[in-house]
Amino acid sequence: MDAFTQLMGGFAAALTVSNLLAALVGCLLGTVVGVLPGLGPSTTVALLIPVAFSMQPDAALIMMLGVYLGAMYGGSLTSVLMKVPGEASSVMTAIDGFAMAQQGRAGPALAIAAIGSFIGGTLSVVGLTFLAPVIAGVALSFGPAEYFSLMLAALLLTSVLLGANLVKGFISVALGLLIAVVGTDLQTGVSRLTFGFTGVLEGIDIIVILMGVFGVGEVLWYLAHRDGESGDRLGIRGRLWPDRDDRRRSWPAIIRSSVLGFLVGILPGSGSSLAGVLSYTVEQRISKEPERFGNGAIEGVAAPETANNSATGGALIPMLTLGVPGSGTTAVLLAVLTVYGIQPGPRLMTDSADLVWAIIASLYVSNVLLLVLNLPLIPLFTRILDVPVRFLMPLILVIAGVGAFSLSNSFSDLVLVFAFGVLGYLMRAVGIPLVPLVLAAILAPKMEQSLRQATLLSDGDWTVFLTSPISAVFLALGLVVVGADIVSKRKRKRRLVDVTEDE
Amino acid sequence: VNEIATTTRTGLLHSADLWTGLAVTAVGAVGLVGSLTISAPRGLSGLLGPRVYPLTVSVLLILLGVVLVVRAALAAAPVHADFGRHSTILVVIAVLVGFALLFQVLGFVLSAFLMLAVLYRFLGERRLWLVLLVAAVTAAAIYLGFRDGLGVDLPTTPFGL
Repeated sequence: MDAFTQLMGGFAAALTVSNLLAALVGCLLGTVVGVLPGLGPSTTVALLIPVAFSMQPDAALIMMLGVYLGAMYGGSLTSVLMKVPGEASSVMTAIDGFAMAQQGRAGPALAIAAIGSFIGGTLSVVGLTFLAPVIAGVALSFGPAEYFSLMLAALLLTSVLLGANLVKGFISVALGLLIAVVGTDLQTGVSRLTFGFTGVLEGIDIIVILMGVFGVGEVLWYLAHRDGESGDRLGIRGRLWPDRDDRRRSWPAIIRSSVLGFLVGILPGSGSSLAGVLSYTVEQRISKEPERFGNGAIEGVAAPETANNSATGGALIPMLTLGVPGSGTTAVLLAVLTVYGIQPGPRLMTDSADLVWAIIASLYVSNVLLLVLNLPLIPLFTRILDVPVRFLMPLILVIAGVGAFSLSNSFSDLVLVFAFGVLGYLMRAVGIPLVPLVLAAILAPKMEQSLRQATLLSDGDWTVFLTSPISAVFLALGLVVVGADIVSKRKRKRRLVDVTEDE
Repeated sequence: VNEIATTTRTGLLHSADLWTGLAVTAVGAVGLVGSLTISAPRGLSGLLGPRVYPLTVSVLLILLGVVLVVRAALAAAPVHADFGRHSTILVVIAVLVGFALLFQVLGFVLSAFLMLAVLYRFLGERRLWLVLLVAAVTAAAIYLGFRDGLGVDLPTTPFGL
């Protein structure tokens, strides 16, 4: 009941003219970047950080969350009409969505994607509304030892879930942890790993890392891999609205995928893409006619589009209640909180209750806005694809460069943002996932602080991490996940070998 | 039973994992050297000091790099890196370096104009007038947007450009 009262207060804040406008701008912008392949929500939100400086915290976060949600809605459009996923989270949508478009059923495919997105998005915010206060309440009792172990477990989970190669996931985490060391140690005042460069004495701003890896890096990757200009796209012919058979097939898929996406979203490192893939696989497995999948099954569109949206609500839970982001976009949102001097963590929901509930309420609002905007504006959004990439991508490079410069009028930040862009491109080229690095760099200062505080409190006895039950559980969980990953990959490899030998 | 062929010597040199592992090891080594030179204040040793954490992470990086190198050597086939089109990426990075260098000399508007024009042309826009027009308008719009919208004065030349 308490959550409900606070949510109503949140609605009062979210429905002011300026915040509604922020939500609308965010939703439109998000849909646009969702439509555009090569531009994702984490890139866009990172590039918006300089803009956030000139806004109120609630309006800025509402706008950024609008981008996050809008990108999930917009990603379906190019998947269905061109078989080019606008977002990684819409990869599965392209399979059956494009098949439907070829059969002249692009309308129902896009409509069910929007409806599924709305239902999944809204149900997951309901889950967030009632689960977040509970988790934050539990987390309030965490001491530094528990916190350290929680963050370590989250990083381990991220390395397991992102990328096929565990070693490369760990490398990404370790690089992030090391980058965060650069600068002056806050507790002792000594400079660390600065190697004589004065520009990094105050440390490398996490925002520079985010804008470099997600902004510049993504553009470099896209430019190196784009193949010519956009290809043919199918139009929307015939009816837009799903018929009775479509609805009958879609409903159960939407409900199942809402729950699945939400749960997957909570896990650090999983996010919307995994939610989309898992929900598609589940629907295909339990379907009575699995052969329809791949040939224009509407469930194959409804499931991933619902799941990638319901993952957004789930992903916000660890970010808002624990200060531990689980995905690229929530990592950027967390960094934005610190820009305003707001300390993320379990106290966030009590100390900044007004802000948090305004944000949560805005998610309901944005989902409605997107449902209303999405269907009538589809023809307009497809026109966005006519904007030539050759004009758009250089613009992003310039904005990232001067955006980083403007953070503290520092030329070294401009150089660093490009350097991190090149690093991000190189990491992608050799198959090292980027998100673990970003998460590690964000969590590292708090991890080290917790590590030292915990040892200080226990008079230098490091076994405190094992003797505190909650901390031990987190550490055990992290190890179990890593162990399970190693064992399952071994098995899979052996099975692959068996199969080839049979042939 | 031991059918898994180890990578031939030439194949290994084409393995992205080999070079990645070496690079990661090198970064770890640099971190290690840097960590060892951190001057810990007296009385703050062990887990409480400023050295242990970077030291641990550096050693971890070295180990991970070595693991990657060993795995590359044992792999049946080399893993190739996916750099995309080399020419494109090298030119774009060169333009970024050029922009960073010119930025301090020419100020934002001129250097951004040059960078945008070069990239538009390079990425396939043939009409020169369109290249120059869009680059000029974009550079000016970003400058004004940062100045009037965000209150950030980007550096300019003495001529006000």
